Amino acid sequence: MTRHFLLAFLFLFPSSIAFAANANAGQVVMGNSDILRGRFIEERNLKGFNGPMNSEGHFVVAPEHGVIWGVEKPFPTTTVITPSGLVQSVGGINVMRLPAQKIPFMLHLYDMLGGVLAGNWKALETDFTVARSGDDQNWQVLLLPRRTDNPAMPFSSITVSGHQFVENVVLLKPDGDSDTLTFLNEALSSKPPSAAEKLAFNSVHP
Amino acid sequence: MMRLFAFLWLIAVLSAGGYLLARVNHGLNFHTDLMALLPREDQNPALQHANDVATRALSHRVVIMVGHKDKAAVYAAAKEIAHQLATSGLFDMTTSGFDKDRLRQIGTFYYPYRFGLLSDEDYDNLKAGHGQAIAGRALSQVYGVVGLANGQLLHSDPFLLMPSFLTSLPLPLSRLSLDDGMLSLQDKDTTWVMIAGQVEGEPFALDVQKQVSDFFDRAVNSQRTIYPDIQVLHLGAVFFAKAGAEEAMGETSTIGIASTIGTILLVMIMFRAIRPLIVSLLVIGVGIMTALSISLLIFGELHVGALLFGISLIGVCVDYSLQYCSEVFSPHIGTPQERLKRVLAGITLGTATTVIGYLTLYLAPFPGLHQIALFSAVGLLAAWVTVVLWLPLLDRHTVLSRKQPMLTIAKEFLAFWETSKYHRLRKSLVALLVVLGIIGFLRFHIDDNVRHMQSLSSSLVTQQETIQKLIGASASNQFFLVQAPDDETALQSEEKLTERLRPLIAAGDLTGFQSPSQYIPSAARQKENRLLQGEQLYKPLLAQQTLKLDLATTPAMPSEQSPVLTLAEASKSGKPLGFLSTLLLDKGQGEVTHMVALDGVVHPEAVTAAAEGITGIHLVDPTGDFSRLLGKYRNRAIALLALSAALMTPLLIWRYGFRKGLWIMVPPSLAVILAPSLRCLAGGTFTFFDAMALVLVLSIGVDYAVFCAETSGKRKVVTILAVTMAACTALLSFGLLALSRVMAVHNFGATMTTGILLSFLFAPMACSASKKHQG
Repeated sequence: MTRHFLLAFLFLFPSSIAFAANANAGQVVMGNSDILRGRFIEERNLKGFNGPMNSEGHFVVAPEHGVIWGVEKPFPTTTVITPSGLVQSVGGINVMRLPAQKIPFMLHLYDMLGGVLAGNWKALETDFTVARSGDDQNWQVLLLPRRTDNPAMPFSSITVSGHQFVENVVLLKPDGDSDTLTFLNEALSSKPPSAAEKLAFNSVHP
Repeated sequence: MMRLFAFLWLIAVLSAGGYLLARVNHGLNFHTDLMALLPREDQNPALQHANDVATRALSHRVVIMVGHKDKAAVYAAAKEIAHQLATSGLFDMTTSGFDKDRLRQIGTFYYPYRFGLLSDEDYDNLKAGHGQAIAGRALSQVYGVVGLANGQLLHSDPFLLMPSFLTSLPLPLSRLSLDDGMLSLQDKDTTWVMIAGQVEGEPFALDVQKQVSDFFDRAVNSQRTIYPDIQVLHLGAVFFAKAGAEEAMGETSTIGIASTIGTILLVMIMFRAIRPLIVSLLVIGVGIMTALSISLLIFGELHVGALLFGISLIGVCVDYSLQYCSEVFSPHIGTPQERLKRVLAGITLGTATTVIGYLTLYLAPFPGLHQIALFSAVGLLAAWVTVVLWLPLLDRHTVLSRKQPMLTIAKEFLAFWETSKYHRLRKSLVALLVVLGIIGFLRFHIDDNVRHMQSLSSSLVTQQETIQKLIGASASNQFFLVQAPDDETALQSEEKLTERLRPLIAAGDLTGFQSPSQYIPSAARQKENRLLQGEQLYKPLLAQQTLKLDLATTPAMPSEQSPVLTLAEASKSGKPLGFLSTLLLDKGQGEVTHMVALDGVVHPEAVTAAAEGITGIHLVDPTGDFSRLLGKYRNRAIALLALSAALMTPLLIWRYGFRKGLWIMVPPSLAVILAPSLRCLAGGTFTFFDAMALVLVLSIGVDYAVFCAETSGKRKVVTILAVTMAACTALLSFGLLALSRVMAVHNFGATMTTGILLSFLFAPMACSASKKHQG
């Protein structure tokens, strides 16, 4: 079970961030030392819940360092993921730490990240069929798992759309739960990460 | 009369041969498992038994990694190899039964017992009263990055304690993930799939090794023809044992051929006839065959180590046949019977002292030494009977050219010890050797480490390292054994141990461990967990959590009725935690034995210390145990060496009188004392195998000294010639072993070489002593 959560978690990175690359003509090319920052709004629909669970916050993607996912509402929570693993903290206190060796798949996916950022969709083609549609101004990519009977595959489909950057991601799960992510105010910077960001990335090292 | 005895001996030899043939027909198996030589003097038979079970399980394990750049290819190939191995009857493949949904099943299995389960971290947090942190974590997982939870789970586990528990499980081989029913991992651009299982037969039996390895090669090759770029790595004691046996055999045949050719040339040059060679081989052959047959009759089966050492020790008997054959160089050749008479006393005394020396080994409580003692003593006696009864009858010798260059050398050698011309040189030589011996003694270095003794196949060692790097588990054949009256007590002891081992992982003394209690907490701990969950989480925080998560229904609370998970239930075969049974070794009468497996032990002392004071827990370290065992064997061998020297002396005193009897022991004793010192001077180490070589050096040395003491007048030169020949053949058969790459064999050979040379060098001292004494 946990594996599934983890995989669900991990799969998002190549899908939500990595796709902000030059796979489609209109997409901005992201260099290895570049940093992408922006805000997100997430709407989560879980079965058995009264209504959708909404959250919003900011994110940082630095290919050379890792990813910071900072939920601000409804509860401040920061998740940092780097090649060494994952750390989640609430109010500055670590509540979860998963070293990469515990979830080796992460390492693989993290490696894939770079490739996808450079516009290399091939890395995902082992597990998904990749179908593109739309134009430069409004492109869409539909990812469908190659095998539906694989229990390690937590999604039934992933839809990514955008213009210069990824703007929307919809994740559908086999059990009917779904996530819709909207990205706003995305900006690319070539400056090194801030001191606070560096500190966050370093916190993952075991 | 002699003919009658010779005929009776023929019948005896033939019956021994017949028995041996019958045994061979039934399939003769030699044990190659070094553990079979373990002494049965251990204090705790239950521990010994558990140790055996665990060690055996480890030695049966086989791990195969199949790698290819194309994921589909590697899956197809691995599946086919696993299928072929599983249906061969030679392997019990555990991964082939790996269910696709295993992890989901593990979660489902644990679910009803969730109130009794907590990860170590959550346990610590709740004990410290940090329930709020856990509640916060659950919220952060729900709202964090992506859903780390599904709706259903949150309704029954609003604090997400189950995912935390499941991720904390020490699932073995952590770099592997389950994908499409196979354990696989991605390393750079190669996908690797792991296949694991157990060898069905005895991995140290030569025939099992051959079958397993042949079948494995066939299975792999069948896939290589389909996928030429496939990479296959394999790991397992059975492969190491086979490579070791093959290398030993390869080396043995090279060294064996060299030594055989050398010996044949030597005998041919000396006697200019083939007959002495044939009779010598006959003597050794009868000795070995009789020894083998009688040992099998008595012990039922033999260890290959005992066989090899036994044959080496019997090899001494070639000296007796050479003593007899060399008599043709005597000034008065005489009839074969007369020739026998001249050497009879010498070889009989030689045989008697050597048999005493070998039988002394029987006094040690080591099964290995028992076999060697009996085997070599029987062989030597049979060889002696053959020399005495058969050689004169087979002797067709008539005339021989007296011109023997070797005789001249023998004469000079004798002169070195007997004429006053060399007096000073003689003294200086002995003094020099003694000084060197003392220096060497100061540099004396003992080595019992079993890892140094073998020469492990470097290809397999590389494969092992690669596999360990790939799967992220380091080989450790150390483990804890937990003995307790029942499972509950054992689990509680393991929980104590676990608490002490956790800081060791943080400190880097140990990479990881797997204990049954991590999967199934003791009933006491489950109750404590349930209380902690109730008091620290559910009672104070459930209302708030339900509200924050906006749950449709209120989750159930932990209660007295919450079921308790038992080890018996979890380890049932077919259950997702069935693999636990590998950690549950034995369920005897009123006692259970569990195993706590260890990964990557860096500091064994720290790990050993962790178990201190917990009843029923012992660290088992088979490699360390074996090294200690070799140390014990080494000490015993030295003690027995001294004892056998002491036992031989009365026989010599009986024959030669007190002073001369003692004097005859001087040359062999000098050889035995100086040989290891000189070896250490040259940078060698002293091992059990050197000690065994010294047992042989003592016997050979006493033989040479006795031959010299038994001779007189003009026969002296002939005796020295025979001793020279004996020393040459001994050097050819044992000395060449020093060329071996296997340290055990190399050390044996090197000490033999030094010891034989010294014995030979000092042997004429016994002649001069006899002269002095008689004169």
